[in-house]
Amino acid sequence: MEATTIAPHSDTHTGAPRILDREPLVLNNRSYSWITNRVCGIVENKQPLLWWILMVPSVILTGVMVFCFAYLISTGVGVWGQKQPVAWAWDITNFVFWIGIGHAGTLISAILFLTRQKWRTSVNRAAEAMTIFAVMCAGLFPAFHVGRVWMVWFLAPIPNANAIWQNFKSPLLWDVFAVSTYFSVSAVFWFLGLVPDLATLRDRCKPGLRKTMYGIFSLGWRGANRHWSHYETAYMLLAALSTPLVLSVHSVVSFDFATSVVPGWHTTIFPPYFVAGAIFGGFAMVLTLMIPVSKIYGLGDLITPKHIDNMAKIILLTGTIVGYAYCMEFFMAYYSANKYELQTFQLRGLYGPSVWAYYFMFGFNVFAPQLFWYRPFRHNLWVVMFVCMCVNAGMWFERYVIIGTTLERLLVPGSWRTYEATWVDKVTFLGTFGFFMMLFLLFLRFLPVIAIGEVKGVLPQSNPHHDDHGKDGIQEEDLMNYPDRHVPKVLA
Amino acid sequence: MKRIWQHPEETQTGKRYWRSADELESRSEFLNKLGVEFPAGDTLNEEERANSRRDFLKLMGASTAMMGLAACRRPLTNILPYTQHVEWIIPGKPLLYATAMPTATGAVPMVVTTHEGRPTHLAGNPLHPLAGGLDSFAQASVLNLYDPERSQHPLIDGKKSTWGGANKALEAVTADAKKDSGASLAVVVGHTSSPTLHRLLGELKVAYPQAQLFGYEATGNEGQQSANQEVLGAGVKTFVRFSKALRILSLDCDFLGLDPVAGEAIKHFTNQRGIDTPGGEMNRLYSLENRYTVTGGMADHRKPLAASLIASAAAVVADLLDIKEAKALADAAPAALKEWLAPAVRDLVDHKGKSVVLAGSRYGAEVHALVAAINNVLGAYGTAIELLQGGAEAVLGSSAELEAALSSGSVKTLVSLTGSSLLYDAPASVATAIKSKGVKVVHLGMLPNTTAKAAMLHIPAANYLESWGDVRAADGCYSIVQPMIQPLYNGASENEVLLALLGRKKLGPAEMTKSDAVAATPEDPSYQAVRDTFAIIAGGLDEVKWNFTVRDGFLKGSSYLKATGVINTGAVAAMVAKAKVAAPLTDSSLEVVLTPDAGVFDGRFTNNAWLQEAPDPITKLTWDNAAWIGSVTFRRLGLKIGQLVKVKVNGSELILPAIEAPGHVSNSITIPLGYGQPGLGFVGSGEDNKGRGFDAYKLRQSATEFVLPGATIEVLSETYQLAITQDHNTMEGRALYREATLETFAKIPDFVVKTGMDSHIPQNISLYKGQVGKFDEKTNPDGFNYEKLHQWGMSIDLSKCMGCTACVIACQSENNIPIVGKDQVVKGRLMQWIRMDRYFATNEWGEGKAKADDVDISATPEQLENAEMVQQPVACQQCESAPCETVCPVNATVHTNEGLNAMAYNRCIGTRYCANNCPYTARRFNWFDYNKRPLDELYLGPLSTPEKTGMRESLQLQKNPNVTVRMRGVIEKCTYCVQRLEAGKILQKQKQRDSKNFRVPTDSIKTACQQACPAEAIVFGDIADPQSSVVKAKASPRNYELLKYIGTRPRTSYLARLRNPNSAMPGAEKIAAWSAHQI
Repeated sequence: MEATTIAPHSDTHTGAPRILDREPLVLNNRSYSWITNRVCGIVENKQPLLWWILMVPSVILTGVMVFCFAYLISTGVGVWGQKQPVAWAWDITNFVFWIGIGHAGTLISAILFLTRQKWRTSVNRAAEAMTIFAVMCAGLFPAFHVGRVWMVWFLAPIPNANAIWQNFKSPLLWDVFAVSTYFSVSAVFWFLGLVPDLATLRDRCKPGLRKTMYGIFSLGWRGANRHWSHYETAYMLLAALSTPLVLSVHSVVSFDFATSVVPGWHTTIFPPYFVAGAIFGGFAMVLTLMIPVSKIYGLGDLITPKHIDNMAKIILLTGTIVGYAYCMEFFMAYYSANKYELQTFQLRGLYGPSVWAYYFMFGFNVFAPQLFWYRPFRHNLWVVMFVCMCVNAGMWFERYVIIGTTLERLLVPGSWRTYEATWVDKVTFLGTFGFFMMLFLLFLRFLPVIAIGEVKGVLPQSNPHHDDHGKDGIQEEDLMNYPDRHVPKVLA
Repeated sequence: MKRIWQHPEETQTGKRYWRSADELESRSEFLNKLGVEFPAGDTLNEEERANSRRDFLKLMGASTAMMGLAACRRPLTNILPYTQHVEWIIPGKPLLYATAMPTATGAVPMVVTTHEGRPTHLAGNPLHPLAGGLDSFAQASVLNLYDPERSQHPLIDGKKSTWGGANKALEAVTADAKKDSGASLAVVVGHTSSPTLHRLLGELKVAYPQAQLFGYEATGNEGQQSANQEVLGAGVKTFVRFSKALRILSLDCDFLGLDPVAGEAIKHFTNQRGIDTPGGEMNRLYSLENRYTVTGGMADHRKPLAASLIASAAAVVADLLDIKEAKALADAAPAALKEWLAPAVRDLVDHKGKSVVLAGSRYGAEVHALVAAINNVLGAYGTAIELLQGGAEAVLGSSAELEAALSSGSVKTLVSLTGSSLLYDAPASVATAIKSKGVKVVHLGMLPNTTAKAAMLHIPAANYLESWGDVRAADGCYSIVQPMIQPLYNGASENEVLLALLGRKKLGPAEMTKSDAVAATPEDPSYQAVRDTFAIIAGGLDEVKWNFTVRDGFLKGSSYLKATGVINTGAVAAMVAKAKVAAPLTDSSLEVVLTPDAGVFDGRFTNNAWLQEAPDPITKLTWDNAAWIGSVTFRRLGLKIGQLVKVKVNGSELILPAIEAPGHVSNSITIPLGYGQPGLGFVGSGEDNKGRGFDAYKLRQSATEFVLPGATIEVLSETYQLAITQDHNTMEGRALYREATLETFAKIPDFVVKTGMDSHIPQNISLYKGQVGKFDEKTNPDGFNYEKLHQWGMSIDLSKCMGCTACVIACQSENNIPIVGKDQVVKGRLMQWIRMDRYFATNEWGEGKAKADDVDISATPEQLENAEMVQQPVACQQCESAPCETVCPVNATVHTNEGLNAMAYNRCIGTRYCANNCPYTARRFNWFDYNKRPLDELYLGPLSTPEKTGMRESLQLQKNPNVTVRMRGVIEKCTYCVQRLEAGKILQKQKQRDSKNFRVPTDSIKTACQQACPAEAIVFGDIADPQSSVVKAKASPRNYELLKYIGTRPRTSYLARLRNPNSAMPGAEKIAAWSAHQI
């Protein structure tokens, strides 16, 4: 590319504010073909040794999870550690934890798409895949935690011999609808985004099973203008459709608690607090996955420090919202003058039997992200990974605190008991990580981890006005019209 | 394909032919018929024609498919009708029979519910003069009948034998006895009032004049018996009239619990405590005891006092009443005790003729002699205590005499008919003597226990529900014990063994010779024996009288006659002179107090799973016993709950876990008896069959020794897992249990609603009209018409409830509630629908302290030693606005129009959300298939041992056929015994026929817990019926709802407890101090 110099036109300046340089979304000025080759290469080449090192234990853990669920179903819910006042514990904790993780994907793909946050393109594919896999893990728990799994179809509004309809007053039923809607819309959204890239892969394959499969799933995509036009409309509509879902799913999940009469659950702050927490946890999981992926597969030019910086900022913001919510819960408990409520929070955070969980939660979720106020920390991948790990753990503890420690100290002290998890609880949870990792590794193996078509769209070359500036170079007006256009540093 | 005939179009011109008038006149109708395939040979009617061949094939195909589907559902089982209908029996409808359960103090009159000939549930007999509820032992005794580990075959030298062998061995015994006219024969019976048994013993004495007869109970009351004998006169029995006793002083007498006294039913005591008008009169109970008992929990004034000081306490009371004999002993008593007793005795004296002093049965004759003298001075005899002249009874030797006879070697054959297990619970000397002198033991018992296995001959005993017998209640009222069922394993009753010894009966299954199978079988000798006794008592064998007696469960007018109350003061002096001044307890010289256990009593109920799993009313311990140690000593020793201690006393030692017992006096250790029996299977002896709990009998030297001074304790490092059902003993300042004194009630009649959040919350005003409101033709026509429907409700009077757990077991028996085993109790998965919450309160509690919001109110050990104890049964509260119902996603728990919070087990998928959202934690979840899997193999699921899988056959017989046996994965809870409500309504509908506006008669339906409650604390009925007693109870100013602030509007409400402290007593102002500042 020809280097151009722009003479400073201070005298001809129109008075509009100067545009600061933007960090490029793709580093090193990569070309279209480089991106295609690099991303498709991951699928087409042999997987690195590390992939196998992760895949084998993941498959084993998945097997263990299957065994644990089989044991649970064949023997009874008693193999878990639940007891009289603590009827939900790790099961629903894990459910809410995974559902929360499943939040970042759709947020990145839908809300950031609608708000024209172009940096999303490098991470949205993987985040969406993560969402779908996390929701799959999440769905396992409510499905299998019930006492009689073989009767779980009672939750579906289908006509049956009992002639009894579902109870539409129950938040659990809302949950069923919310989660299944979220899952199906997310899956369709993800698949739709994949179609052009699958066609790319198809076109690069030799004839064979691979080509046939990619061919089937690319739905006859030819890259025609009509295709792109329809595709973009559909993508936008789906984005608009899934945006409210991002907010609704976790709000509905929070209703499981908020609509109850249990002190410590019966709180109006729960819906926004849960959504913020979910985004918080979801972004942490995206970073936890994407940083290693980018390092292993050499995607550093596509997943740049800017991406990580942006996500760290979101973690800082949502982490602070979550911290505010924690404090507000305490304040409300005090301010309500409801002593039962107050005692619940005192027992939860000050001197109950499970205060350790509260300390973990508070430390991991509120204090750890505060490191991100400092820019170098946001750019140090070790620090970022550390904070994300803290947040991952902290968000699990948050759900455990809400569910476990509340139920341990219900309204009648005569029935108070402390919860202890059994090996089945622990191994099942570990197993879902294996399942999640297995699915994610298979995704890396068979599908493009980065949305090739979309990343290309944010390259400077993609700007129809890329070469428009003629001899005067880029005009300020151009920049105003295309604000996220990359301006090479040399021009400044 | 159906063929359609295409008819040629008719020509419009020319000659016209027609086949019938139809064709000529109404063409279309006729032509339609032409399309039918076989118009001529059509014999089908309209309906058949509608079902074409295609329809037939469709239906056949669908049916075949559905048949196949049906096969995947469940195996076909047939309900077979009786080909020859059994008289009276209607399947699903129970038959009720009256009978009585013999006990050491008399009898428990009861009505037995039988389904198709299986006794399933027991309840008190309301017709009987001593009518009342049942205690937990009587309530659970039906399970003993079906105990799968019950002795099923005679054992000879511990080996399985046949009834033929048993009869032969018994014949050898009688032959031997005949030779030496019984000189080497000894018969041991329990403390029983059965006239037939005593008559047969008399006959035995005639047949074998040299034979020796003994009475033996492991936890007997020989001291009391001998004192009564000496002081009151031979055969004189006391009968306490609680209805007339206004002031009661209990010297470690747990008369509401494990130490029943001969007297009126407990309800006569508790009924005086439910005062509903401010300023009413109420009885007052003073209690001195070393540990908490349910009686101590009910006391207005309670002082923890070492058991070894009870004699001194009796002496102090006697001394204050100027009984000279007690002077020396009283002078040695501690000053604090005198100070405490002085105002109490003044109060007793002020209520002369209405006051009673009771002493625990475990104390010696000196205490009981003093108590008799005290009661005499207080004018109790003839007023609050009746003196009755007992009937003709055989003279029985004491346990000491039994021991002496065995040691001397004069006894060669010992026939044990007592419910106790001699080789397990008698002092070691008895076992040694039996072994060393080669005594042949003939043992009759329900369990193959230690004695059964060591005996020369063990005969399986029949349960009282399987055999003919008779018994006299505490007041002498005569009852027939009638069998409800053929003996399950052909067991024999005591009477039958005596008859066998007399050569009048062969034990075992009734033999039926082929030749005279049709001939009438000769009357059962044991039945005949009871009829003979009846003839003596009723003054002739009047068949009408007999039938009425069997039907009503007792013989009218058969009570003992009154005795003249003359106190033999000389005997008192002689007995008191034997009393020794107890050495004070120190850290190095403690006392051990042996008590019966609330679960297994003296060990005879060890195989009763309901009792094993019913939490001890005080410690909330299940499946085990432990050393109860008061907080001061417990904390001084630095013990943890369940930590093992070695208790040494009398030269023997016992290692057992310790448990902290608030309200327990320091340097005293209470150990419940009856545990540690090996070889009785999972329930009685645990997974390893080595015995549950710890055998404390080996600590004592004689069978009358219950208070063992001079003990030492050593702390070991190991801990033992105890299954305690309640972790938390304080109420955390929450106003769940409300109480006040009679004085507060008089001053602030509405104290109960001025407590806690109730006083702050405004009245709920519903925004909704219509369904929620009450029906009114003008203002609210859509409203709920309460007039037309029953509206069930319950009220529990905490002034009366003492926490005995009889209701818990009654509920378990009625509602087929499974037991879960120790391991599951540890994990917090108890299934009992009623939870008995027991809280301790330090009596420093008051205005100032209660203000603190601090959850962590920790009491000092000294405060814990003087803690108050309260008991609160909590089951499903049947909320009108039930939080559980709204959260169930599958509508498995719904509200009935009669106000029940119903459970549809078939609909439940087990999300457990309802359990979380229940503010009362009243819902129970089937974590495992408790009804199907062996309890020690729950975690093996389908891999559990096939032979042990499924409910044991005998236990299936106990189940109530009108209540579903729940599988795993479903929630269950109290439903106000909905099966009883429906049965009552059906009965009423049958009576009322077509009348639409039907109501069951007022208070005609009782729930199982209500029926069982000996204190009559539970009142149940129709709250839409203004006449019902539940409406009256709920109108009491003491009425409050648990956790009202949540707005659940529970149908079960509680009546706050009232206590009646004596203001002259030390510390009276702190007792049940009411505070508005609870939360």
